[in-house]
Amino acid sequence: MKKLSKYKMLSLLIFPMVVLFIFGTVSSCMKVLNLQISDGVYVVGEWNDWVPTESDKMTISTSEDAYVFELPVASITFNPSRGGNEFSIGYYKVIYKQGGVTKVSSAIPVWKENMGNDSKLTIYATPTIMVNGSAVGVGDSEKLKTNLKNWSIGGEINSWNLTQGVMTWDDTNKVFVYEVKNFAGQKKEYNYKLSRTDNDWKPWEMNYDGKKYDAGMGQNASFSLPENGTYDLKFTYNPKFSILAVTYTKK
Amino acid sequence: MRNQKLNLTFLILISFTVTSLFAFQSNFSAGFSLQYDFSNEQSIASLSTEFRMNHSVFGKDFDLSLSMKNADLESAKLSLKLFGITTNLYKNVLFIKTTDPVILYKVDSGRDGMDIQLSNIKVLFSGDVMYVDTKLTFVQRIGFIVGKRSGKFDAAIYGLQKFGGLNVNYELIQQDLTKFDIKNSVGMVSVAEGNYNWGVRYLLAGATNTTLALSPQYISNQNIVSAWYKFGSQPAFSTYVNTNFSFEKFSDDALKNTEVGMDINYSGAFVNLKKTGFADVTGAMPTEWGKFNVSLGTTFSFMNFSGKFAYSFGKPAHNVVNTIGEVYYVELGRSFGNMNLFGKYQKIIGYYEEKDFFFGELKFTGFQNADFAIQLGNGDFAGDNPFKPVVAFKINAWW
Repeated sequence: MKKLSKYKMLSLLIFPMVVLFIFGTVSSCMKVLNLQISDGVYVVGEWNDWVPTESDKMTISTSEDAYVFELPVASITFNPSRGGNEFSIGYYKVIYKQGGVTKVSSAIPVWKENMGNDSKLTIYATPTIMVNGSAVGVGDSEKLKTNLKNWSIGGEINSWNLTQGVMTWDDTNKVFVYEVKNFAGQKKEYNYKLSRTDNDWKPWEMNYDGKKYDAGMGQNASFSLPENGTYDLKFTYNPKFSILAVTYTKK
Repeated sequence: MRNQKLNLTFLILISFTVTSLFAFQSNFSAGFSLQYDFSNEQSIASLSTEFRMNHSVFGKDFDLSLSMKNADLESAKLSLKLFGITTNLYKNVLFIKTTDPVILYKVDSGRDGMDIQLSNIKVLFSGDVMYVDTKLTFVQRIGFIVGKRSGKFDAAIYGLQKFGGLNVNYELIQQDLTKFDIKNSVGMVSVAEGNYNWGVRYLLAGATNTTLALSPQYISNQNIVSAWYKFGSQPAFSTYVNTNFSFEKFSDDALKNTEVGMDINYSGAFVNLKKTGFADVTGAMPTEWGKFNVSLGTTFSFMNFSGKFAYSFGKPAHNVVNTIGEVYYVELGRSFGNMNLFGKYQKIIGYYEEKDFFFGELKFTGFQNADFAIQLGNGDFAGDNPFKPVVAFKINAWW
């Protein structure tokens, strides 16, 4: 066999790459292959190969005032959490398509052990408040459960101590609440994050910065105070639609 | 805006004072980072500072290192050496990791605790985790671990034996010793060529749902087999097969879980091919290939720029795009004396998702005890970090 020179070997590799790179970015073969889905709200995950089909369409529920989908827990593929083998995490995404507008939620984690004996996961979505690439507007029944670990707020307001920031369920407003009374506001901006309690911040995938779950180091939510002073702070988390918010009253 | 300018001036002033005052010592370092996030309607500014004390601050037998973040103690390690015994005290440090091949215990978050080390024995205590890891080097290389984690006792025996140029690694683990159950047993043996150019590794778990509670080794099935073979140097080839199966569903599992791949490297250029699972291949179109990945790339240089580009096509397209798709990546860097310019860009095109990533950095290294960098965007392209207008000013100083 004739031995190829170094230059030829290299150009054999480089040439197709340059061609792919230039033509690929301009008219990508993925764009040619692009799947057209009919208008609607869909749930995708491993069970449908992340490609929406008619049977993955969410239906509108007047009682919930949202789109709802019941997913059998057996359909979800769970893998061990990066935070430890004792937690199993599965993912789904919600896709909203209406005319020219497509919104795809970020990957939303589901913690298997927290669901106990549930055979179905109920997924909720409000497309009008969905933000492309974010979890806002989408949530599920697993997020409502606190059998194994509570939801907690950790932040600069409590030295990132989750055990101090345990949230309680407010059944009237359907949100988890954590209140801080007489907080001495000494600067404008405060960082915080939502997690499951016991100060281990585990499973890491459930940490939420108000935009995406699995929020890592330095990815925090924040709120700003208009001026220095004493405030009553109220943190709320809406598990059905992943809405994290802070309200304050100056004293 | 005025406030932000003041902040920056203040930051630069501090750094110059700090660097000039301590220019003749060399065991401390500090980092300042001021970040502006312009992606929200109101730009958000955040400042963080770090202070580290490193190396043998107090002499040969007494080490203290600590780091502060925003005026809070972030982590600390105190080391004492006496009569050949090292005692370490830790505050919020990653330090739990056993030395066996399977790795019985490993904790990936900062913990408080202590360990004591003699030449071949290590005793560690940290909250509900404690263990003794010891090696007998005088016979053959055999090691024992006895550990306790939240009320349960575990043990492991492991070793390395050399047979005519072959390395044989083995390990036996029994978890929860007081309540013996075959489900909690794990065995591993690997046979490899002396330089590990080829080898086979086999792990057998007691049951299909066996787990190692505090280990990075995930037991995906009862039998886990991997084999590898490397050959050539110009180009260098590396091939591998990984699979896992249970005894009852051997052929189903093997068809579904087998992963084969080949990596080729040739002076800065690379081609990686990988196919995961064969049960989901339904046709000739890429959309019918199931899970696969083809990636190629090369480093290059032109006009004093050095760079890299890469392309990959596969399913999943990326960590954060699960459908079939492609990823384009290019990076470029150049230094102008003491100024370094670096930029990288990535585009992911999935079935219905498209994400653009960009990161740029301008770094000044001309100072005697400091460097200064201006960064734009988030540099972690493996995570879900599409480009956002975030600008960070970073100063590192040491003295």
